[in-house]
Amino acid sequence: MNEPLVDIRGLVKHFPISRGARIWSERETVHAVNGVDLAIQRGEFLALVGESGSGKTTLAGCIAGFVRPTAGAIHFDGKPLVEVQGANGSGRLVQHASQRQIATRIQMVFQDPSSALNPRHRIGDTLAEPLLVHGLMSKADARKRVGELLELTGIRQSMWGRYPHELNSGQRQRVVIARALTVSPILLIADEPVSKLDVSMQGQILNLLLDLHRQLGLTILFITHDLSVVRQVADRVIVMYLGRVMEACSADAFFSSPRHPYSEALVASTPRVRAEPEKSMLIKGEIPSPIHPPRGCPFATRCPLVIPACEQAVPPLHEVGPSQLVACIRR
Amino acid sequence: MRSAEMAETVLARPIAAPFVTTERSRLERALSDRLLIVTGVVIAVYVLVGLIGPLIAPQNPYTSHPGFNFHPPNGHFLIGTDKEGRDVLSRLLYGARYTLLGAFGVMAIAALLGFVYGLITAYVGGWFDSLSMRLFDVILSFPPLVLAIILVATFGPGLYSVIIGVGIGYLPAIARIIRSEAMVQSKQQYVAAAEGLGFSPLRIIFKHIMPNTTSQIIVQASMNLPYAIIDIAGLSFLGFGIQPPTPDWGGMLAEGQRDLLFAPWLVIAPAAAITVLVLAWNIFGARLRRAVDPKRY
Amino acid sequence: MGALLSVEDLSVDFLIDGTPVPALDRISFSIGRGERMGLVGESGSGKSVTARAILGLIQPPGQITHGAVIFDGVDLRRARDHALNDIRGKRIALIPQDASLALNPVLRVGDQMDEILAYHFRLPAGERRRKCVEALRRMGLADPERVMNAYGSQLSGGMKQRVGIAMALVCDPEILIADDPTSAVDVTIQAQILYEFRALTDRLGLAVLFISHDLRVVSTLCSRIVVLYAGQVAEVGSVDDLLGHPRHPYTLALLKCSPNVALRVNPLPMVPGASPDSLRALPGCRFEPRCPRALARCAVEAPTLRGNGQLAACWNPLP
Repeated sequence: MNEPLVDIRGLVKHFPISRGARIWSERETVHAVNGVDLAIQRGEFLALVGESGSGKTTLAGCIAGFVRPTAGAIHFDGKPLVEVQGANGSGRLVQHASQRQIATRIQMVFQDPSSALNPRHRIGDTLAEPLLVHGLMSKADARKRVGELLELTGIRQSMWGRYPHELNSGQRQRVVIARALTVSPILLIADEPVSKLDVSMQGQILNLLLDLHRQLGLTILFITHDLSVVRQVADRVIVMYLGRVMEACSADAFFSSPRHPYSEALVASTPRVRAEPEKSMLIKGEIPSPIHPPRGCPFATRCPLVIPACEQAVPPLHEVGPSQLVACIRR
Repeated sequence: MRSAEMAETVLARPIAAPFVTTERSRLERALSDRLLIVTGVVIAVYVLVGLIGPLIAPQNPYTSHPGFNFHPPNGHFLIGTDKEGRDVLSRLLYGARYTLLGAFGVMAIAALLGFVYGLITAYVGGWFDSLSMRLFDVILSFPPLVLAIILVATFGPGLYSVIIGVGIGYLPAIARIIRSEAMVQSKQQYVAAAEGLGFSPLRIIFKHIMPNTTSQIIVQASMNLPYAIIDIAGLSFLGFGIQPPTPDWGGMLAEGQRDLLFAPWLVIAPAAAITVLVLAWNIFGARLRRAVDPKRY
Repeated sequence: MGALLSVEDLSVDFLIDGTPVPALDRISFSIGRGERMGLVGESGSGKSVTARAILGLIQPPGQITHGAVIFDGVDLRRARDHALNDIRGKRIALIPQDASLALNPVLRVGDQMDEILAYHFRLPAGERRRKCVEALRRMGLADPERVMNAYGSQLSGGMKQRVGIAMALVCDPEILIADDPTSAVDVTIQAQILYEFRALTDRLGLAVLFISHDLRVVSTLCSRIVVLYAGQVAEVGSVDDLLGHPRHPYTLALLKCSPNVALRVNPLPMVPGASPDSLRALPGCRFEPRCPRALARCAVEAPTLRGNGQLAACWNPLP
């Protein structure tokens, strides 16, 4: 049974933005996700890597049900979750599962521990609420379950009656993870869960995620821009740039020999202790605007290996090694 | 969960918490605030007077005592008489109910309805929100009393028409402020998390967003009360609201202004009654906000 | 040759609800001419307060309660306003953390830069313009004329950050205070900017105080590092000394906790507890509750900076 847990085909998300007055507005679109095929295997710890404009957060939003795709389809556990039927542009969005149904399968953990918890609710109430709303158990049982979740995520039981502002950001982030676990999801999407934490506290959260992954068999989609964090946790890596997938491979293969020029640049640009990046590996230029993405390969404007053919057509993802896919015509 | 547990247990000494622990419930915090209690009692007294005013008034407020017009305070008429020779104290006690009904009625419509409307339209957004905002623009483009006059003219004069008229006049401004605050909250990640957990919009609006906007609504309700009293008085004065000879503090204030120089008690009495109420109401509101917000303690 | 900038026993308090909360507690370090010094700290360490204190930008409820900031022999704390204005922005320049906040959205970049020059120097308009263009070009902006005419909001994040740095350089300062200038940009752009910044400051012989939460960035850019914890200096020394053989347990912890793209570590190191984000005047070492090497003495007596060349504030430093 090698069917992926999440199967994404041809996903596109365009956000319309209008500038100027209503009457003669220029309709421009942000091409946040521009054609992505991606599979998440059951039980894997997958890192989705990209800088700003890569579309990684939008992609996660589509999987979690926050964002409605413009085209493409997402299947979860073999069954369709959301799909856009019909030809491009005129597609009809079919929502196969309600947000409530999605909730018990896919949960998302967000970046900012300070706004992710309702400041007026006590921690215990925040954790008990999903249990009660989903009718999963009685009040008494919920109380017990909250205790178990606090233990599971390493939070002292006495924090039960506290308000979020009384916890430090590491503790808050753990509560956020505990809350996501209340509905026993199969897939946990963590969107930059440690970016806003002090370095000395990042280990707590990363170790927790790894423990949950191992002990509960939780499938984790870890979104980040920081490759050094990816190195510590991921089984597999997918790199996105300007709405498309550039490379997808196992973490070992990625860190020993990244194939896509953008991947190489990302690795070279990641700060390391007392190790200066080689100048030749640093790429010049800026990330193009997602409103006017370049024709052809999105990385062509900055790629050290660019040739005229790169700008003609978008390179397809092709295999260059055992389960290593690259979207580059030079590699 | 050894690794995460370690984070909590391997501390040589607990770190001093920057905030006082909020283990007391909100009710406990409220009850321990003396100022809150005092002002609360004052408001309760006003409400009591509103309810039993007629029973404790020494005189009939409508009875004129000819020959005693503009009589200064004395043993018989504790706050003196007005131009018709009527006992001011009795008029004050009788009038409490109308003033209070008017003021709180307006606040009920403007603040409560405005609150709910603001919350809903902020979260729902879309065409409903756009339509609501345009509707509010229309209402706000009327000078406030003009709107009330138009509504009163439609429904006929009387206290209830005035309450509805003034209330609708205040509603858009309050709803807008709550809407802004609610929109800010809607963008917070805890709302996204609640949506991700499959909670219904109703639950999100009232259990999640609303508690974070109560601070604002308390401010709005406090701030607008004195204006409500004055506006009702103004309308009554123009003949649209409470019809004379029915006593009403705002009306008494308006009438007494003309004769301020030689019968100051006619103005001082209702003014003092209104001022004390507004002061108590505002302080009560401020202390209530403090008690209700877990961070302020 | 004395130090260009010397911070001596500096303390800053903030009055919160009537009680003074110590944000900086007797911190000391010095930067020589042309030297790049890194100031590393996590949240609550006081690194941004340090930058502002050096520039004399501490406003009530904050105030400097003790110590001195000596720049080229002048005590900035005691200096007169006109002397300060001559130094601030002209000889000591600040690179803000988020350049998009520093750029006025209703002014063109050129006008804003020009204003800085006009304030500090008597130069004809043409000369000022030339200097602005030069500063932008130095920061790697390919079409400086176009950038001069643009409004801040029209530029991308990376370009704004470069403009922010160029604005600091336009008066040819002697020292730059860079307050975490690359944390707001993407990592590939950060790498570019840091590389160019290093080359530029080398070429111009500029001293830099580079403030960051990222030890890794500071380790490649700077020659010396100050590690701050909860408003106090934990350790100060050369990069080789500090990172090769750290003496303060917190420095070691920071080093071990900084994730390494070249190596997977399992389980990941972490420090239990959290940085105190609201400080009391504690009698002992502020790191003591979280320190694996804490002694009884550490809780009651605050350690002083001790050592030779590499100074650590610790009663039980690493050997």
